[in-house]
Amino acid sequence: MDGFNTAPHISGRFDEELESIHTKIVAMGHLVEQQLSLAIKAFTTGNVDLAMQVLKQDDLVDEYETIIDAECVSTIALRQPTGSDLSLLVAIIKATGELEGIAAKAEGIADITIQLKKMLPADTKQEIDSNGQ
Amino acid sequence: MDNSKIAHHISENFNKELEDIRNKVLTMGGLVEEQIEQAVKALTTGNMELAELVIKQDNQVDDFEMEIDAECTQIIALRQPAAFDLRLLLVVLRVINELERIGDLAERIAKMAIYLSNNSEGRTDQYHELQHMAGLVKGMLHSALDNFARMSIDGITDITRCDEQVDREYASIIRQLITQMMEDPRNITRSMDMLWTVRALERIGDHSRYLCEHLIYMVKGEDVRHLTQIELEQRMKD
Repeated sequence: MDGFNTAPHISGRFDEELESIHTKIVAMGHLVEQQLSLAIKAFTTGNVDLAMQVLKQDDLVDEYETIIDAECVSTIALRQPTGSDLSLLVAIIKATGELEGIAAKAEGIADITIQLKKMLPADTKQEIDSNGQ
Repeated sequence: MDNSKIAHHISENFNKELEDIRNKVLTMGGLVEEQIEQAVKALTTGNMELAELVIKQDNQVDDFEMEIDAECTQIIALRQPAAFDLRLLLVVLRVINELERIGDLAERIAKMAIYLSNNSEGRTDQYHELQHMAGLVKGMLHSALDNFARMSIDGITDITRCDEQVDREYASIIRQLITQMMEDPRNITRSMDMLWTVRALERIGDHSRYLCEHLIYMVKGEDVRHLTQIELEQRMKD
């Protein structure tokens, strides 16, 4: 199965490379979606543990970006694709950048959650906690 | 200008194409630098025509981005470059994206200049700090573009180190603004506009830092994103 719906190439290895990139960018996308949901949940419920989890997982997003970009570049260099294959690989490099940017914003929300919690008076904190439960 | 890195191909046309791309990126960079300069000037002097000009220039920046983007992809397809040439073209794609975002931020500052001229009742406190911060980020962008022109990364960590100072100044201005808002709620509208402005400057510093990271990738072939300043300096020594 070719996840990008590109026509099969004479080189089966090339198809496999595209498939591997597809799997990774889908996984990265899911992770970023999850980061954003978790960050919003952490913020609205004042859940600092959840916010910490978002901060920790950001490294994973960065790793995905680095790995996918490197795979795209080596595929472009080795396979010398033209036409739609090239556009696809260039678009993926741009997409990883956008996804990383979204994840960085989620990290920002998590960060603010932690900052806010430190600032709030104790009774408000309790109220938020009970709201969260 | 030193062309040794791009003017060594058997195909004269390829040399010309690469040089043409580099020149366009530098022109685009110059335009974005001008935008920052004028946006901050519009804000501190209350010159609304200048602010309108910055907002209009943003279309030009967008056109540059689209044009260079298309040229790069076309060259990759036709010339099938490898090694430094390929990295150069991929980095140009990223560099113009950063420049476009910096242009957007300059546009935001210009818009704030218009809001502030309606809200600030002639108050100019913090303009001095703001100008200083603007000077720092303009310096970062200028040095980064200069390094791009020379295709060199000598002293690049000095530029990225500057981002730390920008962040400190940002935090300091924010503290002042919060104090003003607490002192008198009538300050809030103006303070919020000022806050968005310094936030935009801080983001310009970040994007200039990313520019430097892309240049390091271009020259060394190493992905140095997501490192701290100390890690980056260590990596550059290795």
